[in-house]
Amino acid sequence: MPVVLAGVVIVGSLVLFTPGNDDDASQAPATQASEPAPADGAKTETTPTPTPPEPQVTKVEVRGGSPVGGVKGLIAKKGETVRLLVSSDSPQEVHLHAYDITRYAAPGKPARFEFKAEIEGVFEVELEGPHTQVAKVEVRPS
Amino acid sequence: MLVPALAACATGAAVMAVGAEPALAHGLVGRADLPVPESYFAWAVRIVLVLSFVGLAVLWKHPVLERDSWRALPAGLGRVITSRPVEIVAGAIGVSLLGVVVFAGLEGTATPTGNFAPTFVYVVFLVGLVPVSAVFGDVFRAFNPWRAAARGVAWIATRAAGEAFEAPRAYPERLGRWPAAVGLAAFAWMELAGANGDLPQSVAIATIIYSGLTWAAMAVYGVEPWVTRGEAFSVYFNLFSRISPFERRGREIGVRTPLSGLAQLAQLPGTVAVLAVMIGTVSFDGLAESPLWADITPELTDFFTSLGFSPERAVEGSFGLGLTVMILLVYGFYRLGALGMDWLAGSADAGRLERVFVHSLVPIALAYVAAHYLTLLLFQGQSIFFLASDPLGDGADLFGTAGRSIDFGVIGANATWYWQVGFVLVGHVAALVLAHDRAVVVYGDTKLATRSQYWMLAIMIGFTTLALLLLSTANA
Repeated sequence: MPVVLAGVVIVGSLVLFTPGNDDDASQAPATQASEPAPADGAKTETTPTPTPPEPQVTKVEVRGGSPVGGVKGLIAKKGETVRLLVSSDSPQEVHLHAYDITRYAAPGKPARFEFKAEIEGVFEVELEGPHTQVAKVEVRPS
Repeated sequence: MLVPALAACATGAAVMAVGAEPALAHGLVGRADLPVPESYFAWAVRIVLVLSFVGLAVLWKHPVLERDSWRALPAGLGRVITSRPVEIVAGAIGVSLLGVVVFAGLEGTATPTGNFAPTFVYVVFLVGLVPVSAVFGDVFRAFNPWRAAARGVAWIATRAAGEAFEAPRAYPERLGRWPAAVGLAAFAWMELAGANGDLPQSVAIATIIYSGLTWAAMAVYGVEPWVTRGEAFSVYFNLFSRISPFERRGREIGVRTPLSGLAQLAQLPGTVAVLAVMIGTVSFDGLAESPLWADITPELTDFFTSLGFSPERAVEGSFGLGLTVMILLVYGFYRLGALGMDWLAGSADAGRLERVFVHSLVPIALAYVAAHYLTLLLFQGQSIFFLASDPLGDGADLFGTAGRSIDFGVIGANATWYWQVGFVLVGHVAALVLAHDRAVVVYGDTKLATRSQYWMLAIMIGFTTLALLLLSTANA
């Protein structure tokens, strides 16, 4: 009897605690920062001056000191180049933690971040003055 | 440590109905761990189940940890470490650091990461000393500034008066470790819920208040009774130090079986509360990073605002409530374990079983701290080297290290996940071993002991799974 009971509890907790996949769709990044992967067969055709792929840029708009549409997540793999543009209707100092990059945004002159994602983890992008988080950068192992 | 996140919530919650993001742990850092991937989680849970049933199958007949196995190290080393000069130097270091924290907090920059006080208290002291205690024993006792200063004052007063002092009152037995539980909960509140908890000034003021209370209590009840039962950090680090193979007794240092120090833990009132606070606060810190909390907190905050709280107080209220509920849930879950054991194996009341088995939660508490704060310690902990050179953040360079920065390359995400899962698994096994060992003593009969442990096993698996769950949903 106790064995059965313990079994029920354990199996129950297993079922309960096994994370579902239902959230995954909603967690898709607002914008992928990754550049399109080069096609494998590309080596055969030699293009002397390859046109570089249009870099993907994540755009965040700050209005009245808070991000429009909430805090956006940006997902990158380690080693990729991340491009982030923060526009603001008021002058702001925008800071990316850990990477410790600070850029300035002014009306019509967005803060432009471009850096290589070398540190894994989840990092806040915040307005330095009011300490408002406006975006997060998630860097996953490659 | 949550200030930026809190400010974001306070200003953002009212504006945004959707898209409220989970607060990143430790605004001090502005970085959080990537969630442990699902596959790691699933494998860890399977390993936990297998280990647990193997544990039951090989249940031993005679306790292995309950016997006092302490043996003094060859004389010499122990004598040096416990000698009066070493004691005085260690105490002086502790008192000096307390002074630096207060001074830097009050006089230094208000930027949390640019000031010595918050990083020293929240990262080096509260987190860093945990693994040190678990490996080397009760190191904090030697450096405890409140104990050292009180002993110094008592020594001078005794010299001046020509007679030894007696504490005016005996420490009330029923208080047990309750004051420590309250103290730890108060610090956790400041750290995790207080809107200004990571500001250097808050840290300094809290330190002053806590020091005053501690010295007052020592004056009333005596230094040793308060240090062993009432002083929050002494109790906290002493619990972890019982995992260590090293223990000081008198003027000797000896070795013992790891974990066996926990079996020697006096069953005082309030010990269960201390453990519930320890596990509950880390759980809440993990929960606060999860999408679940991000969904709950705007509504909670609205509720507090509707009661007439200011936005800042409303956020404090909802975080404080979350913290309290988490502590109570941890207690309730453990209580369930005691009730279940009583039901399956009988022989004792659940209240007694609760006290008798509580030491088995210490390795779980260690696993929670180690897994949750691993990267905080490894990354943010580095900043103490440059903060030590510039404690006030005014451009000083006392030791020539002020120009350094944090090297984020010391550990990557994959290694972090392995360590986190590893800590949780090892903590689980240690907890099972301690609980089994105690069951053999309590029931005196292998059959009954085994029966009691079916239930305890389920509770332990619950704690372990919660730890893994929190690690895998953080920032998910």
